Amino acid sequence: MSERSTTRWGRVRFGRRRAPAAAVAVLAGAVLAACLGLLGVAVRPTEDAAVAFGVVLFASLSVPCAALVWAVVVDRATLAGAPRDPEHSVENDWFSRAASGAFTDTLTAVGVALAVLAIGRLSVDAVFALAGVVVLAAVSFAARYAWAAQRG
Amino acid sequence: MDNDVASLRRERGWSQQRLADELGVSRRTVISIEGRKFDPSLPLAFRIARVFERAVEDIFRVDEE
Repeated sequence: MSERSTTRWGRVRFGRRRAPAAAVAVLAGAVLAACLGLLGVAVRPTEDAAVAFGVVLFASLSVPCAALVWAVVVDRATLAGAPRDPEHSVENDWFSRAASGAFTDTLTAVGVALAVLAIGRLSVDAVFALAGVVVLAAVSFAARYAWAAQRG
Repeated sequence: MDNDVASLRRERGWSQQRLADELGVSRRTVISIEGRKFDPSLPLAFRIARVFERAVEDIFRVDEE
C-alpha cells in the first residue's frame, strides 16, 4: 500500500468504495448517541426535564460512541504510521500482561470481598458490586499497562 | 536475551523508525528489543534475521546469567 493512501484517521471500506473513517465515525456515533439518549429518556424513572436529560445523554455519549464506531470500522491498513503486525509489537505484550494481571487482581479482590460478605453475613447492592468489579478491573488494567510501558 | 540488533541497525545507518517500518512493528518494539527488555516472537526474530541477512543465532543469544 502506498504512503499516499494512508491518512491520520484512516478510511472505511464499503466494497470497492472508501470513505474517511472520521466522518463515518462522527455521523454514526451521533446517530448511536441519539438512539441511546432517546432510550434513556424512555426508561428514566422521573418525568421531569425529559428534553434536558436526553440532551445531556446525547452530549455525553457522542464522543465515546464516535470513538467506538471508529475503532470498529476503520481499516488499519489505511492508518498512517500503524504497524503492519501489531500482534508482534511490544504493545501487544504489555496488553497481554496487563490483562492477565488485571484478571488475577479482580479474581483475588472478588474472592476476598465474597469471603468478608459471607463470614460477616453482609449483603451489598448488585449494581454497586458489579460497578465495583468493572472499575477495579479497568483501573488494574490501566495501571499495569502504564507500568509495563514505563519499564519498556 | 542478548542481541546485536542495535549494532546491525547502526551499520546500515537506519533509524529505529526505519527498522520498525521494515519489520512492520512499532518503534517502541525496536527500542525494547535493542534495550533487551522485550524478546521478539519467533516469527519476528526470523524477520529481523532476514532484514539483516543473517541467521537468527548470529543475532540473538540466550543470556546465560
